[in-house]
Amino acid sequence: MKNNQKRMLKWMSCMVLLGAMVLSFGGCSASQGETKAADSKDGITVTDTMGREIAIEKPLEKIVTYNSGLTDVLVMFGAEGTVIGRGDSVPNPDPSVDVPTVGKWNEPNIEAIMELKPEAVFTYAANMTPENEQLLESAGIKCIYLELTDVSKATEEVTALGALFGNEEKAAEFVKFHDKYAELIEKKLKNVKEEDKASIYYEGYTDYKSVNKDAGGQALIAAAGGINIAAAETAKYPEISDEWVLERNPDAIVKLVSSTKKIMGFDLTDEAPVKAFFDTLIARPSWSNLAAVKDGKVILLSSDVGTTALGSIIGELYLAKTMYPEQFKDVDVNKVHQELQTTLYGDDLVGIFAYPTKK
Amino acid sequence: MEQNIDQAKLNYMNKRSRKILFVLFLSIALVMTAVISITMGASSVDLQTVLQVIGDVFARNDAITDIQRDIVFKIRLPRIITAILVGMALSNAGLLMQGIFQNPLVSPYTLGVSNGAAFGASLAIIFGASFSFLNFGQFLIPVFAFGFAVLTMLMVYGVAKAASDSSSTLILAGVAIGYLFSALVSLVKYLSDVKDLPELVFWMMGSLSGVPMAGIIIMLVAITVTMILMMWFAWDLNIMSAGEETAISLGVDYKKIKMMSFGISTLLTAVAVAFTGVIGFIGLVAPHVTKMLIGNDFRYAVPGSALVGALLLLTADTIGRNIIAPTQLPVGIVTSMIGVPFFLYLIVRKRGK
Repeated sequence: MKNNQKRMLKWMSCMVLLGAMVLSFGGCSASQGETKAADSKDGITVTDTMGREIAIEKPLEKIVTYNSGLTDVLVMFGAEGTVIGRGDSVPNPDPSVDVPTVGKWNEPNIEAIMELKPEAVFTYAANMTPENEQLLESAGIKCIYLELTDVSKATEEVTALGALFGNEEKAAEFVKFHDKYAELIEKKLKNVKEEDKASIYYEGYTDYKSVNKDAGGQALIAAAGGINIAAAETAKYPEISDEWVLERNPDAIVKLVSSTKKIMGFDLTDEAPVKAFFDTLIARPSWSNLAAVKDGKVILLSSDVGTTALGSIIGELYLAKTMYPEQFKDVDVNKVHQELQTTLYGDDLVGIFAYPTKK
Repeated sequence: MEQNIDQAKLNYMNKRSRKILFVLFLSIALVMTAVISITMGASSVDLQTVLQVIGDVFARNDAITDIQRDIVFKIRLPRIITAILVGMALSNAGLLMQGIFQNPLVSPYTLGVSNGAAFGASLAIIFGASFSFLNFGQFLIPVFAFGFAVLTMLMVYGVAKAASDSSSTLILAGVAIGYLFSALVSLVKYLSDVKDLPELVFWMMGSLSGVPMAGIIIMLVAITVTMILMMWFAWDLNIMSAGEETAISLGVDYKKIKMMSFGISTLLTAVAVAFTGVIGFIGLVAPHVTKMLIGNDFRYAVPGSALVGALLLLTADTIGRNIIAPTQLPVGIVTSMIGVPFFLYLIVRKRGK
């Protein structure tokens, strides 16, 4: 009898374990990158960039952010007031309020965060150790990794943020706008055969630093219908040989310009330094022989439209128009950008975001 | 007695011939490496194309494209010349410093020059937009790097002079001020935006690509002038290597030569760092390799060390350009990876003997 009881107990334990495994497998099944949002009577549940499920009872009211890309999204939601602490490089979403900085953008100051008692901390997963995450979680502070760095996940991540900050309508408005123009690109390029797709050399902020297939720039190129000439390189951000670029003779060239250069971006309107930068770029040894330069298919993109979740659709349009001017001759990207600005923020667009631009 | 003198003369002549032969051998090796280097790269421009491009200079060859011509003359050739000049500059700066300080661990960077230059470059990279009124254009980083390299040296010299002006004080002051600038670079990095960091990190690993023609000419002039000076004062430098007291007792103007050496090594290092970033190892090891092979006599060590430095850097850069082409490895990484085993081999061989 005792033996039978033991066997039964073993079976039951096994079943319970198996059940737990199945459940936990189900819980983890949202793979990394599948950002989801769901509202229920019991609260809000979203999946963040790392595939972690985040459940909160009501929209967030007090947060600390180390993610500079989040600022624009919060302003769009009208949720500037939720920020009670920020990393040093995170722009203050509401300059009229003195929001304290709590450490460097990549080194969250756990003590300072705990003192502020936010409901959640938004940071990059790579900058949060498991120990610190546990510390914060045990103090009732959620760690949320909605990184906004991969433009291909922009709509999912903004939707999740819309749920977290209680402004799903605005998030949906952005998604609608984004999808409308993503579909436009797709429609315009649907007749372009694979072999006719434009090859493109993508250069980041540093000279000859490109991107491979795993880097963020690849998503921008792919969405605009281009073929990245450095996609197969081993390094994520390879330093590419200048002579190789010459020999590959790409159909188009895009150069990202950091907002820290202070020549392109919001509120910068003087074209002279942008032109000087552009002229230096195309004056590189033998670049005058490149098809992209001869055909006028070289473009400078401000980081505001090249790398941000909200602006990337504009970057994609600029890039697509550069590569396929014929197909996009009726699209005035600057106008679309103005439309986006009005839709999201209700104000006028001021600044230089691409150079040179064609109507 | 006369026979002994004849024998000594013969030995001296033999050693001299051997050293001259070695310098000659290095020159040939450098030319051959340059020839190999110009035929290798990430594009399909190979030996045959290079020959056609050179032939095209004399008799127009329509099979050659503008791009192929530019790859040879505007990309590979300037880069090879830069590698040779920077290798020569860093190596001779190291040779001079090791000689006057009588310290085998001294390199062009020991006295904090690289840290000072890095701080200048970091200011130009991170806060470049604020300095746009200076209108330096693409020379902003070199000018700042050079300026801070020289400033560092002046600070080191000032501190050493205020203390005892001895060689060890100078080295200590250099190391300390080097740490100060290193901390300042870290501070700039810490305060900088994530978007600017890659450019700074890239600069600090050193790169021989994209040096403007003006930079090459400046380096060429600096190296030519300093090499003439070093050869001119080679005897004095030889005597100084025996120590301060010996040099003074033999009538050498110790302070003047030391000051001059200090100035020359600063100029060579600052010019190299300004245009190519921090390339370590060459300035420490190339002079040692030279001295292991042909001795300390500055008359031979100066051209020998320049050639060893040039050869080492050119070889490293050629490997860096080709090993995982079209991606390029930073030259500083390759220099250490090929230079360190070779250096260790020479140490073991020499000690073994």
